[in-house]
Amino acid sequence: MTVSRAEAIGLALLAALLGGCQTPGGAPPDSAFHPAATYRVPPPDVADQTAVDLARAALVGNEAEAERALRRMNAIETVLDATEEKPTGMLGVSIDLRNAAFADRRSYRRATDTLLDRRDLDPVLRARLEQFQDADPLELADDRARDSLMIEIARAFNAFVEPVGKSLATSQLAPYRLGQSLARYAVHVYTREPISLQRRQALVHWKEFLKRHPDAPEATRVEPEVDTTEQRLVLAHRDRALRVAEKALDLGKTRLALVYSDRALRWVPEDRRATEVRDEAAARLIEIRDAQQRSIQAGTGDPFHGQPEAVRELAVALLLPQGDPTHAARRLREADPKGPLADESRFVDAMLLGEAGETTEMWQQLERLADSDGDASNMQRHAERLFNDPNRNTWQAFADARARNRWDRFKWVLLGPFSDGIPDRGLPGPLEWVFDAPALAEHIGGAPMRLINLPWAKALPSARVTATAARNHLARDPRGPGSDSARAWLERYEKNRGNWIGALRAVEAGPDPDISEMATLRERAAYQYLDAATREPNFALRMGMYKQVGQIYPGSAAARQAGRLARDEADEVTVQAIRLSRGFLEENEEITGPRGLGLRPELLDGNPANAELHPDGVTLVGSQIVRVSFVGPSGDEDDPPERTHEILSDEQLGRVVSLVEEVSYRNMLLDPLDEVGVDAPRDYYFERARLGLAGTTKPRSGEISQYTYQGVRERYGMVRHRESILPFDLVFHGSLSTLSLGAFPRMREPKETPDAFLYR
Amino acid sequence: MRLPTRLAALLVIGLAACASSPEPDPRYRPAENVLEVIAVLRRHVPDDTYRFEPAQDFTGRNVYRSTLLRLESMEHIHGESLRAAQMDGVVAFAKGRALERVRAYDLAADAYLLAAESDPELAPEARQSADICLSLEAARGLAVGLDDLADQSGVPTDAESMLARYEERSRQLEDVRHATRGSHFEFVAEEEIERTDAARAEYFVAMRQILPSGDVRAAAELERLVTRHRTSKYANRHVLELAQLYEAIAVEYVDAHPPESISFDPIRFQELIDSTSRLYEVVASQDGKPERLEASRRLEAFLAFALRVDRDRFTR
Repeated sequence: MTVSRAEAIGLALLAALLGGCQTPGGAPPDSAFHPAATYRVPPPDVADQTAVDLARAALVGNEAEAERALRRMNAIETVLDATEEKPTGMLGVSIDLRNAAFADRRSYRRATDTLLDRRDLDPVLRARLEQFQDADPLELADDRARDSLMIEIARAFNAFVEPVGKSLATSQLAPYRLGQSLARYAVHVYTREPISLQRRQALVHWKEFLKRHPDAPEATRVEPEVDTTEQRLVLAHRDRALRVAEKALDLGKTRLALVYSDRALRWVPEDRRATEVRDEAAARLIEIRDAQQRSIQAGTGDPFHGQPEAVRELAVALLLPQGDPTHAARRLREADPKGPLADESRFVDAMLLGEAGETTEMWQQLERLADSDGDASNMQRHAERLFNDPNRNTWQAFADARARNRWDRFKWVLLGPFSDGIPDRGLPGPLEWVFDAPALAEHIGGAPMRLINLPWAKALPSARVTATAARNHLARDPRGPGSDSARAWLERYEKNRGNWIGALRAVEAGPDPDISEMATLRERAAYQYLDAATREPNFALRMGMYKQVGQIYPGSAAARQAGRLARDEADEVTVQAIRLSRGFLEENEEITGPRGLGLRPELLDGNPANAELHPDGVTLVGSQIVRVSFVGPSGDEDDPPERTHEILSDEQLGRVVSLVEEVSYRNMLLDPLDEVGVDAPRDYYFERARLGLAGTTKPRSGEISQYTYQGVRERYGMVRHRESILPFDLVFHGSLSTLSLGAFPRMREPKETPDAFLYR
Repeated sequence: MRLPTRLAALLVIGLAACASSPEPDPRYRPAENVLEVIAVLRRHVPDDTYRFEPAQDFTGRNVYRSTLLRLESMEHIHGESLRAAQMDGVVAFAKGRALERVRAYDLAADAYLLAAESDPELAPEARQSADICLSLEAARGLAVGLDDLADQSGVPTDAESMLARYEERSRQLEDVRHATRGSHFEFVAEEEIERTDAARAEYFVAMRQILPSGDVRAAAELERLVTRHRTSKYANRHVLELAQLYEAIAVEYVDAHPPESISFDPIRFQELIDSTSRLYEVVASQDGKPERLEASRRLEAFLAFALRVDRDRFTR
């Protein structure tokens, strides 16, 4: 469709006219609230009296009296029903209260099951009772045991269905894919722990149940479960410890192997494999000790007996401050150039070179000494130790780390995710390779793409090690021969990862930094700091960070911005703002009604002409003050609101916060998505408001709440996402690299519970 | 009857069958809300809060604290209606039951006395509960916590007089426990006895560098705490505290006797390391307990500390 110029102008004019037709917002009223209403409280009737009797009987534990009161309540409801009058609504909760007075705790559960069968139960009461039933240790244990089973079924099902579904378009590959998938599943079954996380959770719940109800009839069913599961848990602990011990032994970490094999033996005493590992580690430790012994053993006779005089001379020269070790070392070498002590003199020469600042020559000499025969030389092991010490030979450590990083990048380009080797499944080496060979071939095919992406690729973990080595070297030898190279590498590394603060630090420390580059880096570093500050959730810390931006980078644009932010936030944030949004108020009329805020109804009638509440709603800003936000004169809700402040009486504030709490928690019970967030300062303010103490002290910054109560529609819109009740997802799969196309149902595994981290 | 009339009649019957139950009379809403809160509280009054963590209500808060807050909210929202329905007595009594479980014994006693005054039928049970709460408050008045002692007149260094104080408080609480055997107050008394024992151990840990054989005494007191309260919900915490004491002693030992020095005794250090790591391991291996995380992280940190010590001074 084409639109002529004249038509376009006409449409634009019409739009402008419609915009201009928006009803302007009316002026806010003098007060947004009606004066407090008075009520006529009806005198107590028989239902009230019965409720009191029941509550009293339940509180003092008089089951018979509670039963009588409940019967009376039941009769009252029957009469009301027969006379077609409204019910009291107290029957369900009365039954629950009677049940709660039962001396036998398990009876309460059974009675609650019966109560939940009633169809006339209040939804809030139903939700609460269901929650209680679900939180029973036995129920929880059974749920987790079922989860564990479902996970295994889902894995087995998916292992079979997924390869078949993926091969719809390439059916000739189906046998291969199916074989691979089933083999993977077999490996999973072979290597999985003797007990799943969910089963461990079930064990804890079963044990708690037995602890709480040792005499319950269900105990006879639970006890054998506990015994079996506990045995499997012990084996899982043994396996874990043993795995670490074996790996430690492979890596030469003898002490670690000893600790973990001991731990495995504590779980399963006399375990054969754990004993073997422990014995092997112990034997290796004895070897280490023997080697150490060589360094600390000393003869009993005169150490200089039978030695050339030059030996004593060198020892004295090294110990005395006025000694001349250069001369003494030369004399020793000349005395016996091929003798057993010649390497001592070479070691001394190297040390003296280092003291004279000739570090490169010193390390070269030590390297040569380190490469000599350890059996024939006393000083070889000392030289080797020094040369390989990353805290002393920092240049070599950096050079080695850089070389390793280059090698890692090369491997990554070639092998992709397999650059660190194949995943350890606990299988014998060749089998591991067999499993991954096809995937490895596929990834090698992707090498050209990775090569193209290399300049933008994320740094590999070995780059961090190199960066640390570079920093160490620059700290030890900032003006040494290799420093420029280390600095340039570090600067490039920091720039690539966007750490301008680190890049600036590297450039600043250089011997001749480029001023213009430093200025650019400084601005970027300041913005980086500012960005971190704005993300800091703690107000006091955030303000401190804003201040530091100005102190560390004075004169920068970011410092000016930080100053502005600090001022604005100090004005805004030092004021409490517990906001009841308009959406929340619209959904909860009890709060806006005469028993709550007493908000004028016209403020929520959708007509801006008689003033309208802005979506910001009503805000409790501390003390007894509330801020009411109205739609501005433009009548447009998106424009900033017009605000007025009003003071509530102690009594009304206490009632409002009580209502907000009661209503929001009730909503949460009925709809889990309508969650009330955790906010300690809000609760503290509410508590003080209920006690009539809201206005007595000025809150500190940490005590200020900025919580917002929002309506459900405001949060989630009209249509909310709901999880399917079916345990399957339908997956459509396509891959260019393997030229496959398919569709298959994937069985969903039950989600882990939030406390799963306490079982890992 | 003609067909349309019959259809209309069927429709009316169908609609009547589908209609939901009528809305309850709003005048009973305050009483209904109070009954609901009391039902939740009543279910948890007999809970053994010495052995098990206090229950949480649907808001995720401690059920006793939540009850208290909700009752206060209801008094604010429906104060007049509750008074008119003569519910003051039961509300005050319920507040007493909630307050005693959050250690506000004096306020609980006040609430019980108010309940006794407002509702003669509750009076015998309310007065008895008030007496127990006053006994608990009296025992609690014997300040034993380090903060309380410091607030009063500083932490005394006379261990014997402090010991007498702990014994006296324990004795008073034991009396309450015996007198209330079989009721929920027994658990409350047990919790207070445990707090007294914990405060006693805490005192000796704090004084261990002042008192003679202070380390040994502190360890003995913590071991006593662990042994006496094996079934407590805080049993893991007590073990952690003992482990932390051994850890502190090990660190102090290394500070006082650097491993490279001649005075360093590898055997003694080994004993400290073994005790500490064994205790941490005990807690770290307990599934589902929050202390497990603390224990495992502390164990890692402690092993990192042990790695500082030269190999020839410490083998593992």
